[in-house]
Amino acid sequence: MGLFNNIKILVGDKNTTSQAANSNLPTQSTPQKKVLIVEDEELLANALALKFTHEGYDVLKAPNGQVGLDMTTANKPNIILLDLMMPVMDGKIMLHKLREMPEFKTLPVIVLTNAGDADNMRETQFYDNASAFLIKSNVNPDQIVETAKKYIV
Amino acid sequence: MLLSFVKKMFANTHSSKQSEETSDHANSTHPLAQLEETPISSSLQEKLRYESLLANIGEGLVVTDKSGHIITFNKAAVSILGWSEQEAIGRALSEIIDIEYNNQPETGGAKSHTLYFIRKDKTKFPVATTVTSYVQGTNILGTITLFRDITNEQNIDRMKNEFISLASHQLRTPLAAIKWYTSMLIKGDAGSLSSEQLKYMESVNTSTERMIDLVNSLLNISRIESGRIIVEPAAIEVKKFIEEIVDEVKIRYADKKQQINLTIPDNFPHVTFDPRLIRQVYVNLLTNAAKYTPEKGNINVKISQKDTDMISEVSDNGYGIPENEQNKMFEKFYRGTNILTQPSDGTGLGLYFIKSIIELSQGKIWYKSKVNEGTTFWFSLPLAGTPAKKGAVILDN
Repeated sequence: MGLFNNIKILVGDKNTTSQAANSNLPTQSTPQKKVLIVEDEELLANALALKFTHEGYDVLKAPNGQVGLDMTTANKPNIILLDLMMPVMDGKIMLHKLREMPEFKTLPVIVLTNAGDADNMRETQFYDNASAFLIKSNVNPDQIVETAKKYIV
Repeated sequence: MLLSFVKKMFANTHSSKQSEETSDHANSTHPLAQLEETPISSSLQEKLRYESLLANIGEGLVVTDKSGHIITFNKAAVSILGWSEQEAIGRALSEIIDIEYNNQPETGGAKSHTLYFIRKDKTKFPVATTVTSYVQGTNILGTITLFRDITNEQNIDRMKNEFISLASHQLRTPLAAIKWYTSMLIKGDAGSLSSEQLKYMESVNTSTERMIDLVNSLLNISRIESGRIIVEPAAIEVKKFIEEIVDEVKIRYADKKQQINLTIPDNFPHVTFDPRLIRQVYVNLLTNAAKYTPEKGNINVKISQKDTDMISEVSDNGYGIPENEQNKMFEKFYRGTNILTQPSDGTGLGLYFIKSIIELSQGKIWYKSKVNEGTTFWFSLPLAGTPAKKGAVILDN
């Protein structure tokens, strides 16, 4: 069952494969795009940081939603990878606060969680315009990078 | 046997006022103790014995006559409902027991269609009941209601579901870490691996995926069992929908070189069901067929219409299910004893899971299976469509 989950969970775009082909183009020549990883689990945050750095992105890390918000306003990342269950300020609140700021209304945010409840999905995707909603244990870092590349502006 | 039991009970409680008083009196001193002390006729002895039996039954017992008035109200009923026997006898059943159905619980893990009784003090509690009528010839003489408070069972059930759900969420984080780092090692992100190292990492990866599958299945089952699953039907183009699933399974099991054929009329109508849920049914039936059919076997999917139903048939010429185990095959964790020796990665949760989904979608599932000849599953879905159901959870597709 689980192997198929990966395919269907990508949201809103069917051109995964063609986009993935483009991802092999060198990114070093253009100004580096910034990825903000908001995740309290260090092991997971580090894995993503390694992966995105390896792909040529500038990586910023925040251990909770509050730091995430501060870093967003200070550094203006091109995309945010957002965990939901975190101390201090959880991901849902951070996303909501972010959307209240005109500057970040359309900033791509990929929700990355293990709590795939209907409420979480609805609130983040429909109300607060998250670009995608991924279950951590059902995707690998390559698929996360691939998904992120589709939304990076 | 029940009938004669009830008749005696009926005769006893329906006698004169005086005998009612004696029966009250008998309740206060123990009737069985009384039997030993006083010489009485054997028929009276029998009556008292039954009376004592009924009074001391652990479950609540309320018997009415045919006009619906209570004629027996046992000790357990008194303690559960809070009405005394004197208050209850002679009154209409509906005056004493107020009921309430809860079809769509908003929160918590309560199952749908829970029946509640209301106590004298207006508090309510969930009950399990058996209601039967008792007859003499063709005459209905009244009803017998047996009930018990199932608050504890419900709490335990809820705690079990919460535990599974919590454990599954907590398990997913370390599993994700194992999966991610394994995938990065295999990809060569930390330097290229020797072919031996790569082989070991592939084994780690396979086991991790199995564990993730198991956790996902447990989580999905706890969601189904919670009764809080959302059913969101949409009109589905059946042919395209099933073709996509068949293609996925073909790719996943390509190394088994099996033939997977789909037969469906070109003009098959759109059918309304929840694609997220029904997808799981096809995926499970097809992966079961692929897993439990040897290499180069045949798997056939056939979609047809019968009366008011859409019928899906998934058949294989695989290992089959032993006849003496077939009554257990929809039970949680059941796995055929004949396939335990085969190299496959089943969890024993698939059939249980899809049966729940099909029933939730107002369909039925049935099968035919013979060891070493194969298995055929059929399931129906109403052509008129599955009704939507509100809830709080969905499956992670």
